[in-house]
Amino acid sequence: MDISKADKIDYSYIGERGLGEELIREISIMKKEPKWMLEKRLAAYRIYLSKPIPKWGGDISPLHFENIYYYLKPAITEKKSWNEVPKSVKNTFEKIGVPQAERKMLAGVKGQYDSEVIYGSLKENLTKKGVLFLSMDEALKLYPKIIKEYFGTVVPAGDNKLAALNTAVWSGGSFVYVPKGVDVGLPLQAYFRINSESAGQFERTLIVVEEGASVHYIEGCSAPSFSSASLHAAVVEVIVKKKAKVAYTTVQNWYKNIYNLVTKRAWVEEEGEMRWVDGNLGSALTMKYPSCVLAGKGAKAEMLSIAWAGKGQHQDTGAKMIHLAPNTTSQIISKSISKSGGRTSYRGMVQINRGAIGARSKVVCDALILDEQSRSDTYPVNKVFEDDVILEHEAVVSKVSEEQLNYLMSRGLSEHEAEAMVVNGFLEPVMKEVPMEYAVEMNRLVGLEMEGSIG
Amino acid sequence: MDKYIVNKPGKQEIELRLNNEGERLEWIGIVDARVKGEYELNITMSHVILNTFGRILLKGVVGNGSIVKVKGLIKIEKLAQESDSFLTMKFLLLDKKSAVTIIPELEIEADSVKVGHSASVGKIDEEQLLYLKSRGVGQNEAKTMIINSFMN
Repeated sequence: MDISKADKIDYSYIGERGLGEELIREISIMKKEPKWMLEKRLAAYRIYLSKPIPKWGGDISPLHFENIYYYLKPAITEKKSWNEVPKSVKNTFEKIGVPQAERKMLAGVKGQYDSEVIYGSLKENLTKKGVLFLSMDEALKLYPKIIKEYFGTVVPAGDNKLAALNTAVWSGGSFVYVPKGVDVGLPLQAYFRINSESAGQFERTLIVVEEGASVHYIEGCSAPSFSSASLHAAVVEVIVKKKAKVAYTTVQNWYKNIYNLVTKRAWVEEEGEMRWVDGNLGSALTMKYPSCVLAGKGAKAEMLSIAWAGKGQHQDTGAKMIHLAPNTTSQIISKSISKSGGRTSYRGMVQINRGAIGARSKVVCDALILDEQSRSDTYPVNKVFEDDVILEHEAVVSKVSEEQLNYLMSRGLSEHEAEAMVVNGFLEPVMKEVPMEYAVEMNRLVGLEMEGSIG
Repeated sequence: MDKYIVNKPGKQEIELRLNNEGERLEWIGIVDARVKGEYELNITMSHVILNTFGRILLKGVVGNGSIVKVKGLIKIEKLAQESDSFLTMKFLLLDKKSAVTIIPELEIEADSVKVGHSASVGKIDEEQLLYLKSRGVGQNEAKTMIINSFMN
């Protein structure tokens, strides 16, 4: 089975194309939400209408907002056991290795099709410790107080046009809560799939990690091949309390007609640690700049990213680090590769505010351009408002050198193998930081992309 | 080598173009923002033809509540294969009232190139200051000495 084909599943609700207040009310009623959430949605919708489409970044003109299905509800409700999951969906999960992975190495799993989460599980010992891993919809029903306390505090609706859109029509996504001092150990995984043509997916993820606790959250994305453009506009909010540790890994392999416009941000308190690992391989255009607000003394943040842009793709990705407190440190390592007319752009920001005495930040972005049709850009902004700091930024763009290729070929590798080996070596510093299973997966995806572009 | 010196507030645009095959260009700029004010400097270096070499070195000190914004763009156009280009930015912040924004940018449309940039912001090295003071140089004079040597 091929994950680029749509799965045959039934839908219990297919909204009209396009968006209006009516639809937002309908979504909220169907989900039996509290009134405050509907009000948040409607307020966000008004912000969405009032904001212009961003002029910077990639070209989103092929995306017709009025043509999108903003809410598609699969007929199946969330299943807690693997046996209840319909066969067609199972096949897709099998293909990407969800159940095997779950058995072996994951503490919990969520799978979302279009607008709703349809499969979920969490290991019993974690439930006993008070760890919550729910779909956002379920979490809003069961823990409205926690949701109300944190929802929209890290990424407010007014942050940008797409964040406003997400707040207005959000559905699905994960809610993770880790109580004080609990180490979740094995990773939690969520898998997002856009299964219908012209579907928009607007999942909303909220991760709250209490003092001294730690968790690793992994998400994977895929979609079948359709001819018309689809939109994925997620919002992810992460709250890292004092001395807590969070790692958030994304392997984004959307089909090449998806516009992936995502807002991800973490709030990091005293001596907390946040790490984003971001692999962007798919989509037509990705505009995504995971951020960390280093709000507490000694907070640490790290961003490791890999971007791959092949034919017709533009990866406009990067990171933002905002230093608000003393002795905060941040590091961004970005590796990008463009091939067959693809374009990669690193866009990032480091800001060190007054009072962030002793802050340190280091940014390294390296790019490889594999042929003359491809393009690479670097757009970093570094703002410093405090003198007692160290900020460093460096970038290098190059191609695979003839010398390296000749050397490897003289050792008996074909040109293609040699090139693939150099590319893998280039990605190595990031890959070695990624959990092994995902590094293997990313290596495989990069390998496939390299192969597909030969001949 | 000549240096381009900015020592008064205001906005300046600098366009450098490498449009002869085999051309080499080394450009050094100094931003001395110790007179209070807002400074903006935008430099673009465009490589438009085969086999050119460019270097930009930009150093600056920012003090007395000045606000400095510096953008340095290296642009490699499609036909500019075999370009070799690098931009370096180094800034010292002299006090807590001042601010600096540095934006080193790259736009690259040719593949057979070597292009990069490095940028840093920091303050006057405490060790250098201590050393000079231990030799009997006063605090302010020591700072001035370090700043002058940094900009030379």
